[in-house]
Amino acid sequence: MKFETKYHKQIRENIKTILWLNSNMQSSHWGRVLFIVLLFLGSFHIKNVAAQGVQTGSNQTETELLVAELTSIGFENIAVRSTESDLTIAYENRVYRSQHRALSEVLKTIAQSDVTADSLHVLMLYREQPMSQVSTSLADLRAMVAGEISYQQWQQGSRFTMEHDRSLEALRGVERVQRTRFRPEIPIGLGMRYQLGNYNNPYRFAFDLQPELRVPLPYGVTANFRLAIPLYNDFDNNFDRNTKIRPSLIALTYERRLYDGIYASATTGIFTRNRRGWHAMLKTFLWEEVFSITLNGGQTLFTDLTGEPFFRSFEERDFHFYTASADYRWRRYDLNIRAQYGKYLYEDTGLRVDVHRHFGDALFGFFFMDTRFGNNYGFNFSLPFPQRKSLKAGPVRIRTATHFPVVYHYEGQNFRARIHETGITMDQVLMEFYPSYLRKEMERWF
Amino acid sequence: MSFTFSRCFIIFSSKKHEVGNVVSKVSFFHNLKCVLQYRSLVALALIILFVPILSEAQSLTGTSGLFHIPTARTQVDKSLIIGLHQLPPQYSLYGRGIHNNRYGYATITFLPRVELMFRYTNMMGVEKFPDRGPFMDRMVAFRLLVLRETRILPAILFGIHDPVSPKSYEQDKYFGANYIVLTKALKFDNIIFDTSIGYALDLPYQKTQVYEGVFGGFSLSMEEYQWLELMLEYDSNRWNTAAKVRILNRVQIMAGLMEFKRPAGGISYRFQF
Repeated sequence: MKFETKYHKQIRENIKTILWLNSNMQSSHWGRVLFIVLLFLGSFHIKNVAAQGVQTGSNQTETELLVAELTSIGFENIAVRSTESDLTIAYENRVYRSQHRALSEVLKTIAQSDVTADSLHVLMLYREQPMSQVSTSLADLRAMVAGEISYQQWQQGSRFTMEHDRSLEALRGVERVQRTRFRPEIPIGLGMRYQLGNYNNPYRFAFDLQPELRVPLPYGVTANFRLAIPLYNDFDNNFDRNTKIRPSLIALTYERRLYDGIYASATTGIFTRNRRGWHAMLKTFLWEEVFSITLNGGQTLFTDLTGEPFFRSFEERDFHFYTASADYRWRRYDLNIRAQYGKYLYEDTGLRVDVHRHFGDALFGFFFMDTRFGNNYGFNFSLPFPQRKSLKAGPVRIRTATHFPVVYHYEGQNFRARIHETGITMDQVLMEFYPSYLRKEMERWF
Repeated sequence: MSFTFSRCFIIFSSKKHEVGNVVSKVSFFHNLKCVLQYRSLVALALIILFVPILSEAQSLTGTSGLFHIPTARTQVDKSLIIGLHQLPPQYSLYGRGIHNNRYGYATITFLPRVELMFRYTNMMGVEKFPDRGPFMDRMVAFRLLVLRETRILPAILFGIHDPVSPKSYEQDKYFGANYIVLTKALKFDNIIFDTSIGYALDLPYQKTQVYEGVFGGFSLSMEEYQWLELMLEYDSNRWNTAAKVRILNRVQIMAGLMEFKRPAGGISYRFQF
């Protein structure tokens, strides 16, 4: 009876959310569009909620109790297969800002449950796609959580890997609980455009609030719709359109794990930097997360739906792009080195080298480029927003974005080796699931 | 020192103040002259003194060092330091000899042996026209710890500040420095004597400007009071002295005299990831 009551309460809260959104979003054209989409999707979710997870009675097995506990925390796409010797669990995290924190919570929940097995395999998902896996002895995990052995001792006997064919096979046919499909979330981020160093005006900034509607659809497809709501602008406020609420990104993205270590993504829609078109990416890991190769390609046309660019006469044309890059991950320091060559946006051809390192949940790096248009270099960083845990799964989850990215080019206002945002996130997100990174970062939670 | 700072605090809130007698007023003004000149920095320092946070040892340039000279010390891995310093015009090519330099910087220990810095310098007091603003200069610095200090050997570090591309050789370059520096800590009872000696040299297309030739210095601290450091150095052009105070290992406040004549200093804060 406990879970029936909880879900009915959830539906009541969901309706309150929808009514609140209705009262706050009707003032702008794009706000009304967003509201109608949410209402449509909310109806799918209410149907899903009513259809799943209504557990009653006192005859639940330990496995069912574990699943119920994981769903109550807010994890989604949960699948569990229990045999005499093995326990295989898959989950997706949209609750915690960091994947390592989510994994630690899952492991603690499992350790504190009454399930029995010799081996435990925990498979981490992203947009329903398997990313990384932790395999360990359940007894060792319980000993570590209880403080009988140290985290270092436990992780030495455990396996963190990006190979998960066997776990996927074990979970074949198992129904997922608390699915993410049609359960949208609205991360609210901050966008910044700026210029430093112009002697006429050394600090010029434009800040936009960027709520994004992200709707997971079946088979690894995600629909993204992001608005830019101007907060402050003394950078490009001479363009009237850039001072109004406008779309920032509208994309339909397909991301999928093809085989162990091979990921593919494709997207179409309206992208940043006033582009629209399509983009495809293929990423192959040759040796765990240490060596990988990424191929990118796409075609873009101009659009002014997302704002007015500085150099419209140059940008108002079609550009196609294709690049190949090789990545090396220095696991000891969570350092990534990428060498990328090809044709970038704006028909610039040449080499770009990026070096960045994870500093916990933050990321700092620098880059250098040598292309047809000239040399340039700069640095970038991505700082995590303070909200470490968002609300549990509901029809619409509103939260802050996970990070605030900033890029600095030594020479701005040019078209050298420019890249744009297209909705494909797999390339960046995969780094949060790298086994070596998870292994190191999880220690602080135990 | 505490009396001086507390009177400074009163001065910030009002332009008038009263002292006991004329003689006291004259000496008070004389002593406070340098403090009033940098009152905004001092006020910020006082505010942050009471905020419980941590920091480490930066030089005036923004990189790890004594007062104006670099040392072979680097911060703990994954440290990020942001700071604000001010330098009198006589000691900077970017001041034309008449404008103070005030700069903000961010220094990161990107790897245990690699320190990177980005600095943005403002030329103070430049006359502003309606269509012009203050002059700003950007620079980066790269430092590589070649050898860690051992019981016998000193730490050895190579650094390069404000590198420019060969195509823009010496254009907009004001803070160039290329150097090798050695640092060794010596301990006598409970006194720590951290000594450094270095050499600045020109590299192909990279002229050294801030230091030329030999530089060196030392800092003194007590083992029980490592939050306070006293420094004396020769930066290849002049002798300088300064003191650093570290609060809760996060905030650093530094003040000193360039050439034993003109005050300089600043404040920084360290984030540890």
